[in-house]
Amino acid sequence: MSKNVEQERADTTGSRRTVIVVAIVAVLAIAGIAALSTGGGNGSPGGGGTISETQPVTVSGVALPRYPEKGADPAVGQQAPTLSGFSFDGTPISITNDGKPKIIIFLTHWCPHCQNDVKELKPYIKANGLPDGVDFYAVSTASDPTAPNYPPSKWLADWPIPTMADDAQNSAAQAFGLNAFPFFVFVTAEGNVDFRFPGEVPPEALVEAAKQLATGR
Amino acid sequence: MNPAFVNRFFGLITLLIIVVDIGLVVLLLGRRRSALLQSASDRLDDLFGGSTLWIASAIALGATVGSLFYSEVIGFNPCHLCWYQRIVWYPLVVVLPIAAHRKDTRISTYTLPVVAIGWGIAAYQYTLQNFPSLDTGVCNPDAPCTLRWVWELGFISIPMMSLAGLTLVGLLLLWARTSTRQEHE
Repeated sequence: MSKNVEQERADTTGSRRTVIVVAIVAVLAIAGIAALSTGGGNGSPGGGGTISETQPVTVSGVALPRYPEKGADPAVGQQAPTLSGFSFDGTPISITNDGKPKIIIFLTHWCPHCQNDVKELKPYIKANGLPDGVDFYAVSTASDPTAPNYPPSKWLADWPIPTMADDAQNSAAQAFGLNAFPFFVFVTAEGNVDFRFPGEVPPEALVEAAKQLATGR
Repeated sequence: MNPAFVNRFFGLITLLIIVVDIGLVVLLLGRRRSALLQSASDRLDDLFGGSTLWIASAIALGATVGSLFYSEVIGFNPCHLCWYQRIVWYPLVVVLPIAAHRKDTRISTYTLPVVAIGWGIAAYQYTLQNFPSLDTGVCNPDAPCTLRWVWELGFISIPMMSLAGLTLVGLLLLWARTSTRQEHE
């Protein structure tokens, strides 16, 4: 093979590589410009006014142990801590031992299972109402502006259950020992933990469990 | 850096990669049956045939940098399925450029199975993201695999980025294997 042919081949390879590099750079530049021009939003939370996605929470009593991965729940029968805090708009909410059984639902906006639960529970409760004899509360916790479905105040705007906003340290969630989302805590009229469980619950099952809690089983 | 901009940027790149993936699949499958596709394939081979492994290297590097950027700069916490995909991606950044430099198309024999495993994991995670009820029914508070940190253009999440990238790397490896130009250079 002559030197000229080799030189020509080397030139061709070199120019082809230049084309590829230029093409890659052009693609990145175009994607960058398109991303800038289509905005992608500014990533800042909605809100405004007096809405706040986290609120101060006061926990009283002894925190429950973390829900175990396996085996019996050591918190059952233990006195549940009480919570004093606020809804997203600053309305005071207290979850105390007031002599009524209660169900507390811990939700976080970015969890698809919480989203499913809210999606199913909301229309069911609106259509059927909440069972008598049990107070329902929700706690919006683990709020994260960088995560999907933020802000939770918007997600839970017409949610029919009184909802407390947890603080930035997730104090309420930690006090109830949750290990996953969503997380349900059933509390008896005496203020003791009846049972806790993580995971999605069909509305019918939740309401049935609420009726059993109300009647003391 | 604004996460929304980064998400949109990677989303658009992923969209482009998906388009290229589809084009390459059509060419690879149809070139023996259609003269038009064979002609297009030959032209593509002339243009990129000697550089397919370098392009695959660039994709692997982009995926690696992107994943590290998301976790180390933006702060997204990788779930365990994300880690398995990283295990697939990161070595490719090392082995593909070496193979490209040595013009060793036999690398596909070793890397395609790895790419296929990563592809399967990415596809599984993407399925979980779209059908979270297939999962355990709960979200890990630290890093659930069902969480869509990114959701661009209505379908592009991080596992979809991985899926599209691994598809392209796999197709380029196949292309390099069948390309004669690679051997001649």
